[in-house]
Amino acid sequence: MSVSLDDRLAALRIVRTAGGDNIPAALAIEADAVLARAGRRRELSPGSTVVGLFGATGSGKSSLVNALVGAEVARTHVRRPTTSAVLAVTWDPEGAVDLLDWLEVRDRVVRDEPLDPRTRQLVLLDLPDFDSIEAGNRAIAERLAAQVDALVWVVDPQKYADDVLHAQFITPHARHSEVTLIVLNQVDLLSPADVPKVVGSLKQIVDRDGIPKATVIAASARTGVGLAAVRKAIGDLAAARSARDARLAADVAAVADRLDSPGKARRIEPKARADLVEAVGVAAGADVVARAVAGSYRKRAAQATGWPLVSWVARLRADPLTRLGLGPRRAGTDPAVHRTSLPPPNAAARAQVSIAVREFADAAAAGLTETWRSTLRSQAETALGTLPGELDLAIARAPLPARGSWWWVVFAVLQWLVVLGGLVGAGWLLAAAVLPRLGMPAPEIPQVEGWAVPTLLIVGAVVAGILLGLLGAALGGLTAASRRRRARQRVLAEIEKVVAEDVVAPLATVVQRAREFAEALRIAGS
Amino acid sequence: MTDTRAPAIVSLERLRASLADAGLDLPLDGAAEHRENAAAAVRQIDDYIRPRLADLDAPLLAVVGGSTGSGKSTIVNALVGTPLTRVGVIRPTTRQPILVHAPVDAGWFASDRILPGLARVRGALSSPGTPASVAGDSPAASRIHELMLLAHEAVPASLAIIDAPDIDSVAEDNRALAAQLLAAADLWVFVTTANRYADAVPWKLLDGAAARSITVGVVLNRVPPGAADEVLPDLTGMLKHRNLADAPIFVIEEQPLDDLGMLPAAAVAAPSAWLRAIAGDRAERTRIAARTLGGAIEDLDRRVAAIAEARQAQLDWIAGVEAMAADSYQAAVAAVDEATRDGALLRGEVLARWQDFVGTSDLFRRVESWFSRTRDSVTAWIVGRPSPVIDVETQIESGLHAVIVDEGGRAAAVTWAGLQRTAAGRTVAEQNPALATQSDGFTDEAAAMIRDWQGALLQLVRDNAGNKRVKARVLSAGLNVMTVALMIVVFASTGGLTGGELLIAGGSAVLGQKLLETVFGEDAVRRLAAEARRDLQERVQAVFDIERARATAALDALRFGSAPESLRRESRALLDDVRAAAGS
Repeated sequence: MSVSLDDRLAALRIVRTAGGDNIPAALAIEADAVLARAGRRRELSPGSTVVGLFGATGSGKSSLVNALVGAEVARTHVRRPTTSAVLAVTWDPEGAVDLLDWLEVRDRVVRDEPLDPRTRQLVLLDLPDFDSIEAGNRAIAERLAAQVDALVWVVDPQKYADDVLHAQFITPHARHSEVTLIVLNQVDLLSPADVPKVVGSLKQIVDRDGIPKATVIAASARTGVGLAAVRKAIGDLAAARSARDARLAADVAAVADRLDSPGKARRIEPKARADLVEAVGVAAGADVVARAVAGSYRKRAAQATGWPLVSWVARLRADPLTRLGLGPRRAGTDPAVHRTSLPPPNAAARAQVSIAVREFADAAAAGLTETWRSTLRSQAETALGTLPGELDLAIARAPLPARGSWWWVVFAVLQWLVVLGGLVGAGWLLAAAVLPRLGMPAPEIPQVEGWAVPTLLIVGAVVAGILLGLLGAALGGLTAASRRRRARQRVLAEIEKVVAEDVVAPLATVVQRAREFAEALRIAGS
Repeated sequence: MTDTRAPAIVSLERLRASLADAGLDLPLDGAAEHRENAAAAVRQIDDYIRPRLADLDAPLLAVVGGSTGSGKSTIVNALVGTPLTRVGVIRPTTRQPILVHAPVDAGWFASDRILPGLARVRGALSSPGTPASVAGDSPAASRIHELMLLAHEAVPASLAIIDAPDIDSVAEDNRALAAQLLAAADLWVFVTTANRYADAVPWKLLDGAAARSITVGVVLNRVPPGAADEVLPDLTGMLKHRNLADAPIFVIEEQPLDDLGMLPAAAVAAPSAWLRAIAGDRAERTRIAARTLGGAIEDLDRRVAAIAEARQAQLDWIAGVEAMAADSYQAAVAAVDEATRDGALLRGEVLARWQDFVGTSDLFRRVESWFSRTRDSVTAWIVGRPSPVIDVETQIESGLHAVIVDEGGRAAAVTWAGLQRTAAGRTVAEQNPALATQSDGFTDEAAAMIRDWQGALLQLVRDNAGNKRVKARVLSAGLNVMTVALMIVVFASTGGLTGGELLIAGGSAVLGQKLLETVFGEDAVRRLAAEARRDLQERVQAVFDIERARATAALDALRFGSAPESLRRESRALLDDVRAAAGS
């Protein structure tokens, strides 16, 4: 009893909210009823203790009440069943009124001489039976068995081993042992030697019911044997003023006992998460975009650094990034509204995403019971509804490395210088050929190692242009490869954000709920 | 007599066999009750109906039954006049049932003619003067399935008395055995007390007795002095209200027992005389036996009707789950079909690659194709990447594979969720945890299926390259290229592509088709595509059928059992045969 009633009730409330649909409907209703009852009971006559006398027909509940009170307050009869309405005996006329209204007890008797000198705040209820052919009686007994603060089971030598009493009333209230009292009435019908035997046998059966150390008092309403002990036991419960809270705590614990544990929730493995991002990324086209980034870079590099005489051909080819709607010119457009022209995910991509998400849901459900796994799976299905659109936006948002490189300019300048050199050579040769005919002095054509310099210039320009082009292509290829890796990383980083928000977070919430549920259940049932 | 009963006995055996195999294992609503009901019906046939049907003149069996603590054993002892069975204050008292009979009837009860489920032990009388509290055997729980036989002169011939355990105590074995013995008796001596006569549990049994037209005598024991005037009219009214107005009531006042724990003989004079009168009158005995037998068989028919209904509910449930599983797997087949139509599988990557391979624009076609082929083979040589055709092929393969595996997983999940919705489904699920996901080998199965299909495509292309010219063309383009082109055509068939996609997808697919048409001719291509598609559908169906069969196999064990209509038919046949025998 280290857990306070407040904590226990709070735990049961958490169990209800965290459990959600995973709690069977009947138990959910029961848990709500326990919470409602606890709330209501705690508002009413906090000092009063309601003690109900429950028993089979003919066990002498009414006789026992009369004998305890010392007056004929309850009707007794040989016809069965006798009592069909609840009778309340109180010693505190004002305090218990709203409490009795809540208990729906109309027949009330106020007595003067207290049952126990320690307290007047006691309500004694004489209840109808629960085993006769009058089904209405049983309904009343069942309702009040859930409402009273302390339960007194009145049995007699004939009926003390009846299955109805033990299986349907004492066993379900096994958690309430602290506020349970068992009275073996009518012991005058037994020979004195038999009384301890019967008490022993009764204790044994109650032990099997789940109450190992039950207080069993042998009494007789007719002869007065044991009445003092019954009065004292009831007085103890009322004087301690703890029966109410103990009862409510037992209610919470009894409901908690019947709820299934959600299993042991584990931390979601980082590897499962990484696998999910990778699989979703690939399906969403991270590699396609990365390749396009590389292709686009290579193309523009070829345009900028290629041999100017042929590099214009590259311009005729479409830029792969622009083709995907991710080209360098999309700056300024809002990625949230700007859809890429990435091809809509094909059936295979959708399938890959859905396989990956389902596997992730099952990985997240490791250690949990089937009902919680189902919750995770349906949560995953919900996520699959919105994920593809989000993925497209994620790719649009990813900052792709699309800018050119500084060395392109160097190469471009060099290429044009080379072209210029070639043109100079060509002009030189041309001048050497044409000017003499026009009667002008021909420019001198110097020779180096037997080669004419202009020719060398032309040949050199061609060779250098091609070599520069090849070098540029090689450099471009290397850079493109690194751009490709970077683009892939950036796309995956964006996709990871989406996956974290749309898939991982909702599933982790469910796992967290299961964890809270388990913890609250442990507190409620402790 | 035996001849007229023979058909009834045959019908009874048939019905018994069907009831013994009722097949009510699913925990549907009320199934446990019906399962118990069927077992009880089988027991009643063995214990009572079969022996009574065989011989109406066998001695009557009167069972003394009632609540715990009502004094059944005390009354049996008083009827016989000597302490036979142990009485006491500890509840429940009687455990081992005792059958006491007249010495001349010994032969009737020594065999397992009646109550074959209970072993026989021959009991000895306690020495005279033994108090009832220690008489007989000590109540050992293990001996509850033994029937102790006692012969005693005080018991009238042709009427045996059984002291049954209680019907309502915490001892479950007692309650079950009491029900069995009450079902096996011709006659009930029902013991209740002033404290108990309004209890709900015994009245439930008495309702059953009324329904089966059993002859009942009610002993109202332990009546406090003076209370009889109040209680008796109340009890009489209740009996009348429940169609048991004929039942005689014997009142025994609460009185001290003698030194041996016995009631004085006078206290049980009235019930004793009632039993003797029945035993002494042969016609009355036969009438009672016939009435109880008739009632038991009619009651059996009512029970069989309920059991047949429960069995039908089980079969319906199984059929429902099977239909649900079939639906989800059929949906998977349809989804795969959908994904392999109108280019859904080809969008994006696959077509782009195919484009790279066959669809480069004419301007660059020659240069590019030479260049890219050279580049590709160089890269392939350096990096180990496959050639573009193989690449497209792999793309299609892995795409198709992903779709099939995904749908397999989805169908398994849907079936599993369907099972989780009912308690019966949850038990099935618990026993077959593998149903939660696709089967372990499913991924491999799907891969193998796709490989087989491709193999079949290859064969198809080869088979259709009949004449030399076509064969030469196929070889020049490459067998692989032909197969991939065929796949593209299959997966692109039937339009539905939108926007710019159409241009690319349609274009490339058209290129694939053109390629094939130039080789095989237009009609042949259409035929090849249709055949390839049908082949794929069949293979997909087969793969999912194997998956679905797991659910069917899980339900198979539950399917075994009698058919509801045969239960009803056999019960009706039994009723007819018994009536015919009674009429003759």
